[in-house]
Amino acid sequence: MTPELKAKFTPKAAKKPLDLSQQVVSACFSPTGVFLLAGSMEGQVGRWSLVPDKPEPELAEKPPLTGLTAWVSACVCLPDGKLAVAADSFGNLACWSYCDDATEPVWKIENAHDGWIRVVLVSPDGQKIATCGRDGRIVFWSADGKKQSEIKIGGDLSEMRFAPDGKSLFVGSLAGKLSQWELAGATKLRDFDASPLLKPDRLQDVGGIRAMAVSPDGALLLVGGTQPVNGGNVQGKPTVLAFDVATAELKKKTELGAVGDVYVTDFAWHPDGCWLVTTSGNPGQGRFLCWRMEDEQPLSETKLSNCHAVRQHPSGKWFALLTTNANSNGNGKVVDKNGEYRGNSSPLVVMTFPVA
Amino acid sequence: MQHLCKPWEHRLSRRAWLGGMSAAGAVAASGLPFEVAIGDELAKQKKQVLFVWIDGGMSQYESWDPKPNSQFGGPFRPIQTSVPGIQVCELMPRSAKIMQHLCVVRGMCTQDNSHSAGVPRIQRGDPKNRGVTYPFFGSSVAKLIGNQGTGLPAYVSVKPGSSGFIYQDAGFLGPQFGAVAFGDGKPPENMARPESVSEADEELRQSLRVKADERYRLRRRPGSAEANGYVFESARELMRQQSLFDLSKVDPRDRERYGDHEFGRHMLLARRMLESGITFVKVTSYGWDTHGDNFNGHASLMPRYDQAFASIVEDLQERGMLDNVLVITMSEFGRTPRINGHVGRDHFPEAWSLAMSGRGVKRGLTVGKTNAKGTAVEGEAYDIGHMFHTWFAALGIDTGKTQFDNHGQPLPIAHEDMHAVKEVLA
Repeated sequence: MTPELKAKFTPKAAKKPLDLSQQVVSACFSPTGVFLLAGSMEGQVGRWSLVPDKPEPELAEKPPLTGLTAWVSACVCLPDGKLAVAADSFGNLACWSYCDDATEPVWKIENAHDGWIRVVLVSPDGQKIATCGRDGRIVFWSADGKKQSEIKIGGDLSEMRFAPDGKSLFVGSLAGKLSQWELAGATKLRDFDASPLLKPDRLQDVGGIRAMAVSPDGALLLVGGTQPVNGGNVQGKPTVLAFDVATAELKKKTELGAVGDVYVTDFAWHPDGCWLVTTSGNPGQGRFLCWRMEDEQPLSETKLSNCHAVRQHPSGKWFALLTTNANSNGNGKVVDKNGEYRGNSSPLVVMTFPVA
Repeated sequence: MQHLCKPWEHRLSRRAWLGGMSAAGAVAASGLPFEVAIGDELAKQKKQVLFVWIDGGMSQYESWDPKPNSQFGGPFRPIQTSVPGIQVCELMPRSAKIMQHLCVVRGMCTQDNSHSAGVPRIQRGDPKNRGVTYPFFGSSVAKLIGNQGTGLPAYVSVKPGSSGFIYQDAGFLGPQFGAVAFGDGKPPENMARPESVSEADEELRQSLRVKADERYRLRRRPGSAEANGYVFESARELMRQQSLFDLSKVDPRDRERYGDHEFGRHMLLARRMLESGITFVKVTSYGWDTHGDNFNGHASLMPRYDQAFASIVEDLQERGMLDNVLVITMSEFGRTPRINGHVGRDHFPEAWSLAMSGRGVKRGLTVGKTNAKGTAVEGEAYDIGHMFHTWFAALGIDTGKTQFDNHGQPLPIAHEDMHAVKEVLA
């Protein structure tokens, strides 16, 4: 790790975060980078467009996409640059044409899953949409919403990623189960031992797979979570397990924080050679890390209140971090100056790396 | 017996004790198995309580009072229950099926949002401050109803962790009304008669102990010796009924229905204790303080809770015991509407829910309500004092006429400015 490298990966925040009106649980950029979509806890897919010719990224709010309920827990833009698919925690799946003014979905599948859909992905060739969730199923859909096939795995499936060649996918559960499945035959290729990320504590299974990424060459599988200390008010060290895909061998276990920092919540691969990692723990505790597996310490570490996800802008010039506002917690009835019960929000922090 | 309590801490009328034992003896003489006999002959007159304490704070949103499609509603769906018009969270499908037996109070509004003060404050009924420590509900019931002739402790607690005698629960009533705790659902250590001691030798030892007690009584204040004897006799009755704790003798289908987990085993043991005639059985589940990861936490916790809770209500109903056993399940407060940065919910006493069933309680209804977002109670709000009045009334104890006697100081058994919730009472 050289000073030059550290400087290169020390991010700079834009002047002001964008404060999304509703708490957000999912987000994606359109392939052209013009649109940002964000799924909220109130059944909406918020929509923003990038204001052109601004020195710093600036977003203009558009009418939200409607048709889902409860938490919009996953959303993804299709490679055609026109359609986006999102899913909610009630098991519904919907698709919109997000570039025009319409807010209603082009198609919607009610009860696509029995309950909470946690992940929606597009296959590397853009031909398949894959969904998984609490009902233990992975379901594959065409872009026009037709169900193609499914794999029954069982458990509460919390994370999933395609292998870069699109022939297999990796799936992890809240019970800490982690496996790779070959898609053509719907057969399991191998299991990975992610048990350090799980602790059965009294009645609660604590932890599980909370973040997942595959290296661009497909050789490494990274899963993130915590090494749980206890349930209830979950505590633990944010931890990454890196597996060799070919052998399922654990290559490295890395702790990326202290006990109160709790979860690794997301990964993204930066093409210049490092992982962008978010962590979120006790209210107010959260960090954005630039990290390489070979280093003992992250290249950089930025404190942000409860950092839940990182999304890279397709231009590669900047990225957005989904966070929760500071002072988000507190017992009892917390009211605003008008006496109204106060909710929380999701500041979207825009960051850039210094230009080389 | 020191692991249970200190003999001098106990007082009990020998007359009451002997009365109780003679009733138990009559049952034993009938030749029926003790548990069955109690169930058949005495249970109809019994007043019992199952108190399921969810320590830390169960979320009302993720259990009894879902608010789907609202700002704070969370990710889970509501499901229809067996009672038209009543919905609960999808995480409790078994309880949904027995809603015809349940009464859910959705209008709770209590005063304390901390665990350390809130837990005892709630369980003591939050009475007016008179400079005395009020008893927990279990101790109050032990005092006012007693062990009803079983010879067993009137108030037992099945909980994770350590065993022992929790005399602190009894407050000013005195330690004998504390809880006998069966940590991890196990009987107190050294309870079984050693194999090297024959039954005859044991009887000889007991007769010597009784004589010693008699001499002890002559040199002590009235009550001390009776308390001493109570401890020994309760312990002896427990020794006789050690099979209660052996869940391997339970139908495997029951073990499966209740769940192969800590709470399931403890609730199954609670059922056996109620069948054996124990007046007040408290079951505690820890680990519900979900400030962090509330939703995945409840997704893991609730199904296990639901499984065991619904099973015991079904069993009590099936055995004809639900008319005698008042069932209460609750926490010290609910959880906040707003969802914090750790995707958790914090403590919220302002608007939460509890559920009841059984003796003296109407079934198949909800009482009280919260607003559309769940941020406040709409209409009349109920404090824990209202619940104490309601529970005593359900047990046939008139809170207007019954008082505690704290060494000559008369004290109300529930907050005198509050009242029973009539909509709850059958």
